Amino acid sequence: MNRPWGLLAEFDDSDRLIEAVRRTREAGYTEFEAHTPFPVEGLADALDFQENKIDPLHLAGGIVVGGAALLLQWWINVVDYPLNIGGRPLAAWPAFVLPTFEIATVGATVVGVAAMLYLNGLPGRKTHPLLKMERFHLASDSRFFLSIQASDPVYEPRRTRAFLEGLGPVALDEVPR
Amino acid sequence: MTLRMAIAGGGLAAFLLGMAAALAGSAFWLGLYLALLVGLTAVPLGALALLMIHQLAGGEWGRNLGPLLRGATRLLPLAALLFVPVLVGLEVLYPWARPGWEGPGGKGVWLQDWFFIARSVVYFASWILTAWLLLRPGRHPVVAGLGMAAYTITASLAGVDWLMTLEPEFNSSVFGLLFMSQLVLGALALLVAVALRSPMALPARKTLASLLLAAVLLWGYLAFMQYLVIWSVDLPHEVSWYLQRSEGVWALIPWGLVLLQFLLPLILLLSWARSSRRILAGVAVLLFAMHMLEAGWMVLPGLRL
Repeated sequence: MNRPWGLLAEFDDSDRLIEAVRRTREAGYTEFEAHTPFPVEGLADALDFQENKIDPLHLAGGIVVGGAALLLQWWINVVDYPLNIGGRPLAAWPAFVLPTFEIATVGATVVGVAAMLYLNGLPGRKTHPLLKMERFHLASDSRFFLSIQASDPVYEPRRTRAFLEGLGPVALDEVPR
Repeated sequence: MTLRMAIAGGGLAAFLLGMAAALAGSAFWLGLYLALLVGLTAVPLGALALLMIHQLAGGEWGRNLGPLLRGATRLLPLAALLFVPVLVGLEVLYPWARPGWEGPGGKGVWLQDWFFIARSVVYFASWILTAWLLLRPGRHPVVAGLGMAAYTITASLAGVDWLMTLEPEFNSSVFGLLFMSQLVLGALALLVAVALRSPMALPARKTLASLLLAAVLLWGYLAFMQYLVIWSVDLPHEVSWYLQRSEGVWALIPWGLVLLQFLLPLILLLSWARSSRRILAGVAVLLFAMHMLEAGWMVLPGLRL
């Protein structure tokens, strides 16, 4: 038998989605996800979303790129092209601080955004079972979706379908693999 | 003994000690008095600025800090009174007030005893007037707006008068702004530490942490800008301000400021640590201690004893 990828419930209201997410978690499901057109306040708490892989990567990006900027300035001014400017020391650390800070900021930002895209499976991922669903494009327009994967240990086709129906969705579909 | 009586008694004792230092002509003791006075005056003066900002911009933080800001602002008349010994002992502290000093350009016109005293009187009169208008019940956005504009001028000139002219040859155009950032940082540090003594929900504490972070960043930015510009230009009458302040044991303080008034608070206020009430209170106390140390560092090494 060809097992489906999971189930997709559609809601027309963000409060109802939050309530649905909360009850799904309480029912013991773990492999489920909410899809909304905009950041919904309280949804992260309802999902118990604690994961934070991006912050340390931001920090690492800032430190590595900023350190490289500092090193580059030192190398240019002391090794590659030493210029005596009014008798000041070649390694002009106070003057190096500003470019280092600016470039560290850029480094942290670029690394953070790139890490976010990579951790989301981009650019390698071409498609996703949910994207084949006819109405799923509304997740970036006006509707709120809750998906539960069939790989979830608590998942049982008929019982999970009945559970989701009980949450009052406007539509409920099986997602083929 | 109530807090009110303690403040009145402490104020009277400080006033008498300051007067004694001024009349005895001791530059060190009167300088120490000025440093402590400027450091502590930051609390009512910075509170006045924060009160005006809150009247204009609003924000939940007023709920926790508001009563403390109002209480601190009421200390302005006491601060004014405590400046009398400094004004009596001008000649002891300020080289330009001594006979025979001749300033370059127009400095001699600006730095005359009567004009200096009159300016200090005007500063305090304008602050006390603003505070009096602001502390009436209700919201006063117009008073706050006009008061903020006037405060920017009076507070930065006060910083220049009281601290920068201790060495009349020294010039720094950012000095007034830097002084204002010290006022706000000092006031916020002490009042946050006091506010945290009573229980407070996590979101409210995070807001206070963000306010402290903003004050630390502003001070760090301005202090570094002044240093960078003076370091780059490298003129004797400007560089000597920093050289005098990094001789002997004084050299520990600028590094202490970089580490304990900037880097360590920055890291703690940015990270998970700010969720801890105890760590946040510790950062606030540390910042106020460093603020007082900074006031001493700005006054004492430059005195011509």
